[in-house]
Amino acid sequence: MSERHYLTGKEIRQIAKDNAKEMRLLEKNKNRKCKEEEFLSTMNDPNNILEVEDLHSYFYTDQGVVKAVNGVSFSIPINSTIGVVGESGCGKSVTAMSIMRLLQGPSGQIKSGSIRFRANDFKRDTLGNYIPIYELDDSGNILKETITDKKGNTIVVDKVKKDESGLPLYEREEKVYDIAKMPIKEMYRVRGRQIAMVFQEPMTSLNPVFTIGNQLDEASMLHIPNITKELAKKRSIHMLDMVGIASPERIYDAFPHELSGGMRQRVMIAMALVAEPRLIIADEPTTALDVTIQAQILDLFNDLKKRINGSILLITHDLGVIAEMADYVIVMYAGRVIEQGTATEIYNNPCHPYTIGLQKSKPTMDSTKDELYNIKGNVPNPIDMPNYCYFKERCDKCINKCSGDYPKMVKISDTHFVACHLFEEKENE
Amino acid sequence: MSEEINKSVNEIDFSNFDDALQEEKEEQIRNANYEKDKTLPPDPDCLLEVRHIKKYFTLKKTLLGKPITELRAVDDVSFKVYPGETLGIVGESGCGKTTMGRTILKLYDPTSGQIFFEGNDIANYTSKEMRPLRTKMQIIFQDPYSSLPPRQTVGDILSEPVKVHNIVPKEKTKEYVLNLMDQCGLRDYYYERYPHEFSGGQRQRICIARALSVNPKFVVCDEPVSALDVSIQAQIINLLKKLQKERQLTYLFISHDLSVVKYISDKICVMYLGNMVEYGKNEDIFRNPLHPYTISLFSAVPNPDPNKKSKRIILKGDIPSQVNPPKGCKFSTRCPNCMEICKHIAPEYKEIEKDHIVACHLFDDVNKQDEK
Repeated sequence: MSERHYLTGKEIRQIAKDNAKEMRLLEKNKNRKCKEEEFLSTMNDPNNILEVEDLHSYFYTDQGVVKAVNGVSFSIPINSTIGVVGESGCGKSVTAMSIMRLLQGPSGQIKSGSIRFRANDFKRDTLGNYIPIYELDDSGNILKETITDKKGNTIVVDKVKKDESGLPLYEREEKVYDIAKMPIKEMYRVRGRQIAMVFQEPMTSLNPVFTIGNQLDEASMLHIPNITKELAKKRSIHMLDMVGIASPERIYDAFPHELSGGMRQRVMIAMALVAEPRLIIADEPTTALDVTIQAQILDLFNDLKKRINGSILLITHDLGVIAEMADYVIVMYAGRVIEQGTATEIYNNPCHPYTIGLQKSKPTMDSTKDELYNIKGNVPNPIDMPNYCYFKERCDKCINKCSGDYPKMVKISDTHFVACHLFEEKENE
Repeated sequence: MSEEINKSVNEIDFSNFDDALQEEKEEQIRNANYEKDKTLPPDPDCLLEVRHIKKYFTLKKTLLGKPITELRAVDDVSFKVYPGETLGIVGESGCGKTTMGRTILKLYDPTSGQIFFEGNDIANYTSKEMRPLRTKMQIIFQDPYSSLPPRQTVGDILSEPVKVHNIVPKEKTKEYVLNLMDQCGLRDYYYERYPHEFSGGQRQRICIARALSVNPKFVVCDEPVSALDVSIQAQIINLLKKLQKERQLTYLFISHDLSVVKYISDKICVMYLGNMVEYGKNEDIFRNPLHPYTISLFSAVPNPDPNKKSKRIILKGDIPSQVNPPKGCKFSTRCPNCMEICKHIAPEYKEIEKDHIVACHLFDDVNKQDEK
């Protein structure tokens, strides 16, 4: 790059022109109408609930294209916790936002890649309506029941199967959606129902003008078909109880400002659980909280994981939190996955110099060293990323090869992969 | 009077205990202690000595200005800081750490209590009297994004305090500032740049350079690393340590991150709801934490080793409101070892080891045995 650290007006105009063209195309694609078949896909491994493959999420800014997520691939097995670690600006939140398709358009766009998610969605008939499950008698005929409709007439209808709380059941089927290809209008099938998200700031992510109960009910009313208000309230109170709120009836009528940070985060988790999602994305759920409250919330997540039949994608910058929670760890740096492996592998045998540095630079309760190890320098400018290893300037184990292409993922063990030239050579030997 | 309480602890029937009377008694004892200590001369070895400092914020007052409801942000805290050492203050948010740091610098006026800085009681100094002392005590704020003026260049920001306090002759100011920037790890061509051009870590370095530009002896670091990334945190902590060695600085290091405090401090003061619950040397506190709050605070820190799953003591509930704190021991609502006495009588400070003070009823007996 040249000496000057600014762009001329001409350059900015050129960039804006190129960006506008690109964004218009992507935006058009996002708002297109299409049939379901277009975004149905198949999973590579039937044990996975989510597979992200070569995901590229870009932000088109006037200074240039920011490649916030630049070729990220990972997969989440059923009933497991995946932790994503990295510093701020490494693309971990953008990855989560891409999975939820919440990137702020038109500047934030998924450029390419695929996000395959195995959903347990409702079966639909040709008109797009859900198909109820009818109660059958011993010989396989549908039972009938008489009800009075709104006008007061008595009519005979097929009896629908109901669960313990009185909710009608609908037929469900397993479908694999490619979230990256879904039109934004179809995302209601996934958001909240199948994948729920817990955000970082419990202070700002609740609506201050509605009561907690109102906001929780809204989630049930949206995602559970044919639910009545009474049932929704019952469900909300049950959820509040499940996340460990002491007096759920009182909290149900409270406004968000009456609650403390930890309580609000519990409410957020309750809201995420309302529609019984298969995957919960927790984006730095404990960063804004105190240590003692953080311990409470992490304990709650561990407890919930056992009770709900789902997976958790936990995003954090705290290696301690990862070690407590995650089965599998993904380390990100400057929009790329640089290392992934099980939690024990990453802790006992970190391979990438960045992971090693990250571990050493955090003072722990047991450490007694005189000087902390520090990774020199800063995260590189996200615009104009070099085509060699992004960590080269900060790395203290550089070899000649580091100036070449970006390193490929090297296999250390069946579950442990690292993107570093140091290990490529070893593998070749 | 305190002996009276201690003796009769086992015999008291708490079923119809008069909390109001007890509160009055405690208030009297505290005032008596305060009056007694007030006449004592300051410790000549200390750089800073704080005695029974209180800071109450008035939330509601009568027509005549008499407070009705008060927020007791800092309630009767005393400690000493010796030159060249670092006192770490830990606690959850809302426990009064920041208020205390600011009160010591007289950014807030203390409600009562004494602050001795180099042997002078500065608690009642006016802002004009404080001005010459500002070159001796400085503060580094938490958020490097909002504590730098966006319209001034780094050079201006750093040379302003130098000019105001006449640290060096005018013509040598630039040279002095460049030297200072070099010490804080800032390149010399940053002199002409504006704060928005820097990342969080660089900004925090500018803040540190600004605080050090007047050659202070005592620096209050109010959560200097909590807004930064892990790798940058390590850089800033190392810089603070290096500068302390070079300039013989004394730090009051406020943080909620226990591992950082453990790393940097010589002595640690654990605060809860405006009270100091435990105070002692770094090694003593981490080797042998006494107060249940300290123990649970330590156990709540997540361990980065997945093989070592520590047994956590998880505190129930949230930190209570400071406007209406619980009676007796303030920690009694969340304490795992709470006894009946804790709900009614506030514990006093007891020295368990040398320089290791704790305020908890669990250690009532320890002192008695020692006396015998």
